[in-house]
Amino acid sequence: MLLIPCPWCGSRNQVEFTYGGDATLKRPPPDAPVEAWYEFVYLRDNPCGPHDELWLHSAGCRRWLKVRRDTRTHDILASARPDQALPGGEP
Amino acid sequence: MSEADPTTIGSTAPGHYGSASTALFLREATIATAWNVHGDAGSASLRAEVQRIARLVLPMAANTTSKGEGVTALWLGPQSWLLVAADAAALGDFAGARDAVNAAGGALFDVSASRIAYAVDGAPAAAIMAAGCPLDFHPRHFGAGQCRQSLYGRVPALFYRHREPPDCTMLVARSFAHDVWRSLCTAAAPCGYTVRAAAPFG
Ligand SMILES: [Zn+2]
Repeated sequence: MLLIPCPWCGSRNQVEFTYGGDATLKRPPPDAPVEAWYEFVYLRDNPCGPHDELWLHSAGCRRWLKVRRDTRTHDILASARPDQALPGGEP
Repeated sequence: MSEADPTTIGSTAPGHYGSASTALFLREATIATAWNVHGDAGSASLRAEVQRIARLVLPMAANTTSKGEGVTALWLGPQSWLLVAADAAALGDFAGARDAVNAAGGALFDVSASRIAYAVDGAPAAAIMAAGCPLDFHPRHFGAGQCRQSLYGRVPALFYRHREPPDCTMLVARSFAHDVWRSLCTAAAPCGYTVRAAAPFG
């Protein structure tokens, strides 16, 4: 079980949240080549260590948040609102 | 209090169920009106408009509530609140209120029929809530006047303590209410519980 610190509600059980994928992806411009869109839509890294992710506090305040999670240990290292940077920038 | 059939765990009829202890009480807390306010918490005009309509100050701090005359405002999220009244007269006409909130840049939804509230009271209340919910119901973490959205079993639920613990009220979607009531009763049966007649919310 993970305790995830929601930037609004405080520390809450993982079951209240929905995983929303990689938070470091950047949407390509509309006229980007199809390869860039293919990579954005389908291709994902499988990082070992700290990873910035999007989570939705679906059973709580229904807000999206950023979570930095260590994929080896499941340690939750930090969380932030979507419009705020996680401490230390991108891993 | 009438003697209910102790085998019908999950019945809503007033009476005593389960084991002999009489320390735990369940009842429905009736709601006449529930309005969902959406908008920018930083907007002074929205806050003023809600204050005029509901005669209370919207709670800005997470997990907190505020009270007016017959109306309770519960914080749902940084841009969302639930106004609850047990008496329809406490909030008045919806269409006029909606237009006023719209004019202040917010949105107002009539969700009066969407939720049912159950009040759990008595010393074992926290244990009964914790049986289905991951929240910490210790008074140090969840005191009077606070609210939290979470789950009961798999059902999204809004928990509210309008008085000092152990008392707790939970609001769940009407479509899930029967299942949640059964879950509450099943969790309560080993220690015994008394179903009281429905009484107004708050
Ligand atoms: Zn939250």
